[in-house]
Amino acid sequence: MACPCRTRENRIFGSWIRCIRRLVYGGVCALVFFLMQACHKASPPEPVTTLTLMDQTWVSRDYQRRLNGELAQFTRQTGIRVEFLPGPETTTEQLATYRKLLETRAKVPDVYGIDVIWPGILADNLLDLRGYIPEQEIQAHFPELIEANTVNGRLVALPANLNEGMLFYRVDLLRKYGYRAPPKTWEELEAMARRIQAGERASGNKDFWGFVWEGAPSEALTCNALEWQASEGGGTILDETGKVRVNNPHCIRAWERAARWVGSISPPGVVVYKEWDAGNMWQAGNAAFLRSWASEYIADRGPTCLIRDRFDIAPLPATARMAATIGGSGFGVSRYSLHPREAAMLVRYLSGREEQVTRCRNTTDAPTISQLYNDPELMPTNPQFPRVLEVFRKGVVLRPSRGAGKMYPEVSRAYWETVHAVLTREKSATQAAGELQEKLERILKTPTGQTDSESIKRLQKGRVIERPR
Amino acid sequence: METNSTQAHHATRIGLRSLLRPGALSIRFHLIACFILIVLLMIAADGVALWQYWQIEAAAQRVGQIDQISFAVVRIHLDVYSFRDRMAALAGSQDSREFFTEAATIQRSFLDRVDHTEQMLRAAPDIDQDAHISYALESLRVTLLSQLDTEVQLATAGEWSAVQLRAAIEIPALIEFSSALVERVDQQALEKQHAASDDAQKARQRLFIIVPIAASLTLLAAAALGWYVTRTVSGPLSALTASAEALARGDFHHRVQLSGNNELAVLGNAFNYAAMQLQSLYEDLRQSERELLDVIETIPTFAWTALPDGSVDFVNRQWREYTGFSREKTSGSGWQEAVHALDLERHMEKWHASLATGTLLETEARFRRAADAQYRWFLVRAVPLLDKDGQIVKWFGTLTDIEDRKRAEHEREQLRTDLAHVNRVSTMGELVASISHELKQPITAAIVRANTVLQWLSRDPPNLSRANQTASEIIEDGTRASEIIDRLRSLYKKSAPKREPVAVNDVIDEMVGILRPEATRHAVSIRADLAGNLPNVIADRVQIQQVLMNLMLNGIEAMQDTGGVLMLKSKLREDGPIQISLNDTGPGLSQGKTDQIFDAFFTTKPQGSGMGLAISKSIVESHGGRIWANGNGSRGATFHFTLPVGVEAMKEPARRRDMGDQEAIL
Repeated sequence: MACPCRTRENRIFGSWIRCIRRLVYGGVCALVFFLMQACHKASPPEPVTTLTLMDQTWVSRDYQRRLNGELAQFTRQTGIRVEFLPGPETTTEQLATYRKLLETRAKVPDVYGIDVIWPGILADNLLDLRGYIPEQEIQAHFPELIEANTVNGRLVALPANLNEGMLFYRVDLLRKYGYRAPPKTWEELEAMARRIQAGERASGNKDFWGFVWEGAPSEALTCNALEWQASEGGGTILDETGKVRVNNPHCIRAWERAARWVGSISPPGVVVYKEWDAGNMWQAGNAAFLRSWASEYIADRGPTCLIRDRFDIAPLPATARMAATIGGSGFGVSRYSLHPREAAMLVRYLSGREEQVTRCRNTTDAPTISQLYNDPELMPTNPQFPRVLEVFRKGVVLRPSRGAGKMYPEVSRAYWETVHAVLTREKSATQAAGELQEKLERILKTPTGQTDSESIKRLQKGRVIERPR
Repeated sequence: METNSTQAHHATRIGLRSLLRPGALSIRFHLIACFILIVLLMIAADGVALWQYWQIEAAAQRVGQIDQISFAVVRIHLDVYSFRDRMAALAGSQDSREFFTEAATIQRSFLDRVDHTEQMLRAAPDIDQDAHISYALESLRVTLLSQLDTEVQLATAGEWSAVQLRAAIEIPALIEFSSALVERVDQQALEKQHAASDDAQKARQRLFIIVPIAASLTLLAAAALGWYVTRTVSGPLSALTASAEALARGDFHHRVQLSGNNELAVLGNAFNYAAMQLQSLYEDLRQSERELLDVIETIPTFAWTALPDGSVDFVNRQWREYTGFSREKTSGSGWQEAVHALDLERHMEKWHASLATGTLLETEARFRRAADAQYRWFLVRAVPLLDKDGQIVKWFGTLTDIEDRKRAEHEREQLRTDLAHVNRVSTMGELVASISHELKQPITAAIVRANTVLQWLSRDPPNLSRANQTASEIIEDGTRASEIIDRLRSLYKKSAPKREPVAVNDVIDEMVGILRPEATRHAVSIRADLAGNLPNVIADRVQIQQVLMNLMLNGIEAMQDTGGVLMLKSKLREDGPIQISLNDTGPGLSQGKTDQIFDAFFTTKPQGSGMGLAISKSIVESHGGRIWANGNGSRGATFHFTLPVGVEAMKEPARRRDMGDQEAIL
């Protein structure tokens, strides 16, 4: 049994077995490796973080180009890609879309353009940015705007631009009809508009109107009407204590005056004009005055614009006090974003000083960093800045978004519907003011939650165009 | 209980530990594990191949899906285009009714398309991974609807210029956006196509790598299995075979050396144990065989065995020593040389008869002793060993030395013969008077005639013729006397017993002739009534004469005072033997003495030796016959004896003849 040849044979056997065992082990390892590789390859390679931005501002070639430039810069700096999603046209529809997305906890978009009136409504679904952005950078913005974007101590959006309601006027026409300065009061405006309109129509421009504004039942009408009401001394819908202030003579007077414009100095269709329609009319050179946002200044100076050298802006007319609705927006991060840190980086970038400076060079978006208003470098391209700052310091009114909180869309809707009814002569201003007073008080008593359901409904699919009466 | 459970636990732990030790795993386990490994490998390879195939398919499907989506998005884009064109055209015509209808149509068609596209997107969730396309679609829908809505309102308000301005300024942006969407989808489609084709290519490559690898792995596993089987099964099996062969050779010291604890090792251990047991059994067997052989070799008899054909294949030492024959010389029929030439034929006859019939062999023969070249008598006995079918397997036999018995028998016979002789002689002594009287007659006559011869010769002239005649008569007398003496001489003579065919009636006549003078002297007449045609008996004539003489004298003596008739009869009994009866008219025998009278030294006569009847009995019995007496009461006594005839009677004479020869040797 234990003969030497057997032992040698065993040794040879053993080495063979070791060899085969190694081969089998190696094969198994190779298979496992390939399997793992296959698994790895099967799943897509770890993608570069891609953020999605949904901005309020509606698409235009210039805007897109500018935004794409900004986002490309951000991508270059951080390696984070950003996709852009446009929102609907009006802020109402925008808000409804946002809410639909956020309340269904959509993971996309990551970053939203947040209108100044929205933080109170969207706060629950937005991230507190204080943990992501250095305090110093936050402090650089207007404290009023930071406050407007802070809900229950949470900074839910960082302001990126400042907007105000402004009066755009045709310098050439004013001069042509003997006016040296833009109107200080609504009555002056009425008179100027009437004269210029009559004159222009007489000289052959049949479609010319004195004053165009946003009369369509939308948030813009709330802004317009609020300016009328406030500048007449009628209050700002809700006062500081949260009480409804609409049913007062000043307010009624202001509304009646506006109703009077329709069909006289303003086209009858102004009651369906949205911001673009008013702007289109204005840019087409068919109006002497335009109520618009300060940010439109540069657009109107664009090379394609017919009136690019023939207009200027001024504070809106006022009887009691200067009153310009504050607009503008910032950026907030969805709480459901998969990349909150990167999204906050994007917000910091978009709202940051550097970016605002860049933007100031290309647009008329007013910065939210007060220091930039004194920057001599920006002055040549932004001659309107001192007026914007002046208005901001003296005569801005805030829509009651803070006071109404989540009920603001309802409040605003009730307000513009009422004003629209007055404008279309469905109701007298007095009756409408009384009804609105009651309605708003009722709305503000209802518990939060059943908010703006109508807007959301309107956004549902299969909406049928209502045949106008 | 507790200890039991602890033990069980311990046992389990040991079992587990031993299970984890590779050598302890059973071959079955190894084989099953190998097979499972192979099957798993094959399943894994097939799974991977299927998976890769599925990936290729899925990639192709994705490409198809995204193509469809791309197409749908293009149509949406075209819708937006047509929307602008239609709206601009209708705004020019300022036909509000047509405008509303058209707007409703566009809205419906647009919504349908978007819904359709969204459905497709939802059906292919992996295409729109960042959900951008669907959100862009949603955005586009909301925007376009909002545009439509606003334009309808503007148209309602108759603001056709505003409608136219929108168509000129805002809608292009919308178109741009939808165009961007199309681009985006196209780009994504392209990317997906690339990715899909890349995926497919990679999957194909992987397939080409994985399938051969899996196949070769499976082959390797199979080879390993085969190798393992060869090593763990064939190796130990060959060791087991070698051990079995060694065992078959009778090498019980061969042991299988198998390590581990598997089935073959267990088998090896069992084999070793069996070999050990076999060895011990074999040694026991050898021991007992040796002992048995010792017994067989040393018992004071000759033991032998033979094959069914009669050839001897074993003889024990006693035989060898006795005959001086080696085992080889004895085997077969070599043993026959030791048999006495005179016994051989008879012995072989009997042996062949036994071989043919399978009956027990029992015979006697003389075998030559090597030491002194003497023959000694042996009783040869052999029994067959039968198998279960009754066939003879072997014969077992013994040779028992019966020389001493033979000698004793012979001596007894001699004694009896001597006694019979003495008896005869003494009986003859009793007959002296009558014999001498019988002899005296011819002698006296011869003397007288001699005197007459002398007278005839003394006459002158001598009368020669008369003398001659008378001398002849003297010779006749002498011859007659001589005949008488001759007749008696055989009775006197002490001769060896022998067997020969004897005519009983002749013997009776002869004895009547001898004893008639005696009978006459006692006034007893002898009559004989003999059956004719009696067969001869094989007997010793002298002894038969002696028996007759004893019985006849007995009868004569019984009637010596009274005189009477002695009647002799012979007949062939129906049951075979010849019966001879002697009837006297003496006083008879008392009833109780008919048995005693044959005892030695029993006599009723004052001068009797008491031996005659006893000797007669022993003679008759030695001839295979019987003797008895009937007390006939007042009519005298009758004695009968029988002598057998036929084959039975033939055997005994042969032996007697042998004994005769033996006597010659002694």
